[in-house]
Amino acid sequence: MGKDGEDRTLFGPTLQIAQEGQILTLPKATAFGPNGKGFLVVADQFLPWQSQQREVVGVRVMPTEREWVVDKPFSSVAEKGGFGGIGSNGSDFALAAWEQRLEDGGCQLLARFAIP
Amino acid sequence: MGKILPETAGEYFGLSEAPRHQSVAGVISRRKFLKYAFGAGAAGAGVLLARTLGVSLETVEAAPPIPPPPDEEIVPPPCRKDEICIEEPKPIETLNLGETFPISDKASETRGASIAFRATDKRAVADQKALVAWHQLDHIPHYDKNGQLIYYEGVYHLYSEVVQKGKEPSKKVLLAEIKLSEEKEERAKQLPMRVYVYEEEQQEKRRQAELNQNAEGGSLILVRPESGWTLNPDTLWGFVWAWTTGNEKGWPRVGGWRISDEGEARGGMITVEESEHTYHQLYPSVAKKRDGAILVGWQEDENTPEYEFMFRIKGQIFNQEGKSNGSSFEILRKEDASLQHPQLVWVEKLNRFLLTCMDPRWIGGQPRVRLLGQWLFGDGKPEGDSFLVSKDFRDKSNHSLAVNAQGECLEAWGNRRRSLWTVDFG
Repeated sequence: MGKDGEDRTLFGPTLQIAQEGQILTLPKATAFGPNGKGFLVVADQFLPWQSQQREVVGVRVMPTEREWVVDKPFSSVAEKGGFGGIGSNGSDFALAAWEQRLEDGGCQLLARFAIP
Repeated sequence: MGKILPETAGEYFGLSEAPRHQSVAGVISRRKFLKYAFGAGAAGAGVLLARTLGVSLETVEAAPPIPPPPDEEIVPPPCRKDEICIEEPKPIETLNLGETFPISDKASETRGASIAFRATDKRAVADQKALVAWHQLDHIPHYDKNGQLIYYEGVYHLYSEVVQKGKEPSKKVLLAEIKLSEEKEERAKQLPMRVYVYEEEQQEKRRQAELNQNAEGGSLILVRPESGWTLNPDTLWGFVWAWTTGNEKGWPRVGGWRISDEGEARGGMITVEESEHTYHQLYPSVAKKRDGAILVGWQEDENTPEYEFMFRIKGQIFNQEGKSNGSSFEILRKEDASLQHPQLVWVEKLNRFLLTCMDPRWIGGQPRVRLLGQWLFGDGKPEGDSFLVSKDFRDKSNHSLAVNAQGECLEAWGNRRRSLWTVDFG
């Protein structure tokens, strides 16, 4: 299967799905979409202009005839949220959950089902 | 025209954070959007603007379009020299997210949400049940005999819950409880009362102080649940690590539970194998084969001067009854690197597991990370040598690996150093 450290190009080219200035961490990827195609990726986004502020963002990555593209973003996942996770049934459903900061300083785990 | 501006402004402010979510179709500053919204709104294109803000199409369609007056040409307002004018963005189709609903009760913090669907079970796909596992920090009030609040005790709870679309969530199941050690609790009691009397503005500081205490002592902390369904429709796995220090038995260990279809834990915690030299077992990941067998992978070091914090990736196979078919074994090790954060998936069409992990090193005085991959046979043993997933040593944050029904794998990671987020796939 190749020598240690050798780039065997088993993985395709890197696809940049964020803009300069965004700081996205803790990505969670999962199978998604009709017939199991594509992936959903959610991640925490640090907001450097707001100390300790986070939010949860996400996109869908889908194949085309020639390349993979990021075809759909989430309209909104969570503001003031973080530590998000996502799962999918591999067919037509996904569930995203994340920690949500409450106004009084507490936290709560919130969730949403996502539909393609 | 008098109604257009307020409606447009309302759509904008109602989704005022939307531009920050447009990580694909171009992030445009709020200032630009605001100018554009009001400028174009005055020209009667309010509906189109709502789409450019990333509103879901469903929401947009709900707003009735306002047709321009007959024979009136729509001319965008001219740009002033001190403004940045942008071209009209194409409408953005966004993913349809349902209503937000709570899973946990209110807590001081909730972390590590891990979600699993029974992807390969047709019945599960139909009933759309998902398991969510998480941990949360709760502060339990303690009172004296006069009913006076003395202090709050920090307790970590690990829960799981079955969630089903269109139905009330099942009762959450408490899997584990981790209290501060008695020593820490005594220290907490000795601190000035004012620190522990509940005051809203003090709560966060106190929580941070408490965490710092733990960090200094290395005594407690967070769990990161990993969960996955098995093919057996009434069993599923949640894996978690947690620890307290102070004695040899307190080092972090990887373990899991069998959980019923209704979310109930079946039996006690099942742990992976350890040796007399096992020190830390951290960051478990689970993947299941089609026959229901589960491979658990984690990072582990040894309580010896030579291998302390020199993590290697270990694994162990369990059947769907939770019984191990053998001993734990080494999946990947580098003599000159401490491998961390394994991620596992089962690739059905190749009849192989795929492992990816982080390979952090110090280069030029800076911490750098690259990502390694390793194919594994069905018994979890490595096939050939490891290979590079990321092609350089840039500083990287956590990563995640997924596989879809076509057997395509996707690896995602954050790149802090360049403030970019990149995705690899293959």
